[in-house]
Amino acid sequence: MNYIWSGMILVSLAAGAINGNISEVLAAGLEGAGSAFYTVLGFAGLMCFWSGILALCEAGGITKVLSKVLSPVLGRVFGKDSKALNNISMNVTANILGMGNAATPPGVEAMRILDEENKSKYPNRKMCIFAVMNTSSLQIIPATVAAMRTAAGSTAPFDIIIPVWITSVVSLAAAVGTALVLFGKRQ
Amino acid sequence: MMDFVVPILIFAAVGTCLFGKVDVYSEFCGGVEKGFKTLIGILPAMVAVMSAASMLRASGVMGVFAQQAARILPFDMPEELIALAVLRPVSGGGSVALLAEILNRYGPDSVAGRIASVIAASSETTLYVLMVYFGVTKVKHTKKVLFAALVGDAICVAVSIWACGVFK
Repeated sequence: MNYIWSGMILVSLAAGAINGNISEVLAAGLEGAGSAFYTVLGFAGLMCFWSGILALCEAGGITKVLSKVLSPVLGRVFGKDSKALNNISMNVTANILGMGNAATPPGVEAMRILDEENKSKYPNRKMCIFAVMNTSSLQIIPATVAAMRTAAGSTAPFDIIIPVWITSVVSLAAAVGTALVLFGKRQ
Repeated sequence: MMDFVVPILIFAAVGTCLFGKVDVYSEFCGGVEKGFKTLIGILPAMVAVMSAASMLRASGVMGVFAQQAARILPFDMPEELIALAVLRPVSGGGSVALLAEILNRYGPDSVAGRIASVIAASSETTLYVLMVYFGVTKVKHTKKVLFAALVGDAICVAVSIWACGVFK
């Protein structure tokens, strides 16, 4: 990100100097900063509302129920007796509900346990599958994106939900499939 | 059906809390506070990326890039969408900012706006996630994992374009 951002700034200024529109380039930069602020303000309310609802999901036990429902399915992938299973289902549940911050602690703990169970210095198939489950999004309700769409004036912010589900499932399948091909059956 | 998904979730969240004698109001407010902290967290990246992207566009460099990319790609894609596809796995804040730009510029319900929304909602900041998750392990050699994750991201972009075309 260091190089990308510095590159963007330096290249635009240099190009502006060559094309003779450097003052417009600078003005555009400042305007961009301003619109960044307004954009965040625009979806702040919705985003806060969703964070509140998610806190209720956790407090009311919806999270726990989901995690119980998921653990048999996950047991088939990661092995029923893996010590990591509990953490994995908590991680997946949080990801599904779009609680990125809540997903990380159990996710990292699960990875540490999987790593302990894996006796090699190469990551094994389980670790790879678990990692790509976290790099592909499993989220059911794309709250942040919907909030941003509303802020930008969309009349149907959740209209994208079916394409999002399809895309999430297909891209996860592609990542897991690639993992299976690369790691084969061996553990 | 879609009109009911979100209301049902909200209803269930509040209902279960009330039923479970949870202090609903203060739990909700606590969640809001967390959400607000997240927002403050992404603001710096938003300012950085949106100002740099806007400079890049004003200087004409973005146009040149887009022309080159358009030659390779078999279909029309706004330049920002290409940038989003590339930036998504690398920078979370950066891609949120870029999505905001696309939504403001082309409109949230335009083809580009919808595709961008789907890309952003169906993928994660792959590099960051791998860094955090493999940070606690002893294993080296995570190239294969990175490759599998990036295949997922590439498929995500392709399927987003397709799915937005099918479900209008």
